[in-house]
Amino acid sequence: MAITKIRTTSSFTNLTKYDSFLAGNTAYNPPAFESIATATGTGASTTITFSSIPSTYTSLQIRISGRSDAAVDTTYIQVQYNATAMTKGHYLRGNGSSASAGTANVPFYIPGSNVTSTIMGVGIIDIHDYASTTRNKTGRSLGGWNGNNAYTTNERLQSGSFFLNNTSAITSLSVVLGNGNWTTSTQVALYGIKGA
Amino acid sequence: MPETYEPIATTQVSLSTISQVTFGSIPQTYTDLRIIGVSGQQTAGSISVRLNSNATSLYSNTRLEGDGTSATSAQSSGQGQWRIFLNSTGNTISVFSDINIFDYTNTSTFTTAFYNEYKNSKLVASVCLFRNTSAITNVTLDAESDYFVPGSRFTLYGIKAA
Repeated sequence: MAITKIRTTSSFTNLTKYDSFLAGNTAYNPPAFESIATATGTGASTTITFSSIPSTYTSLQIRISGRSDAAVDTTYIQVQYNATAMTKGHYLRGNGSSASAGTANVPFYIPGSNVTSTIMGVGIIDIHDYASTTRNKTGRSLGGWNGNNAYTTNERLQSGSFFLNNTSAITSLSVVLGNGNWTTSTQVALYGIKGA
Repeated sequence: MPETYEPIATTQVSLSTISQVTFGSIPQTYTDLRIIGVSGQQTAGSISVRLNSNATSLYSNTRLEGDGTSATSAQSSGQGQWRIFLNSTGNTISVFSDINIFDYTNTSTFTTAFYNEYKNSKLVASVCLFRNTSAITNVTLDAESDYFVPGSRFTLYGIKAA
């Protein structure tokens, strides 16, 4: 193995000496809002799961653009932590005609195959302090879909909160359809948000 | 390569004769868009949102409203805009608005969005549809009555999935 020694009289010229390993570059500050993973519906499963979720964030956010292949106008989705369904949930719903409220683990509704295939349901689910091992888990959601009133009161917007009486850190998250399978046009993205 | 959550542009209204704010030439490198606004109009009225300068009857929404006394829901269809960012009154900046536009580069599906709006007299949430499959390249906000209050500010963010 050759050993090379750099001397002032060597062929290396115009060397710059740095006192930092950054070597004059700007330090990289990782962003507080990071994309963890994205999943696409397969057309053959009611469930989309994110597993082995890193525990290095403070909060998680799921953003959904999706549909079900069930032969219905609309169906609901549910959230599971660590393969366990939420035990409690509350919602506030508007269907274009009336506002209503109830108790159910139903973050929001999306369209089924009776609805024109170009119409997607959308929503955001937020879960804070997911890595805590001392606090029960609570999440919130907002989502729904609109079809230009062609599907009347099946078009709906819903805001929800949901609770799991379990202090385990969340390592997997699933969004589960009430009916049918997630279509191949469905995109579900998981993001991590860091605290200070 | 864009960051996951990145401000694309901010517009702050500096004159008293500005009635339109446009975010144009939107990069097609993100997954979703988000617009945050703190605004007011000089005369009571709504603010219209249009995509790709399209003013045809392709807009609709389903909304949920609470005014501190009751909760109601309503629906609009076949409109020439999303009429959102409901106006403040009294020529003040007092309306906070948050609109999320999903999968805006997709040319196989219509564009769906939802927004939240907060002001001292009402909370509004709405899911909105634009029945056109074109990718979104610009978003226009129009003060329908007259002009924005100087100091009104809108920021466009891009959110990129893995």
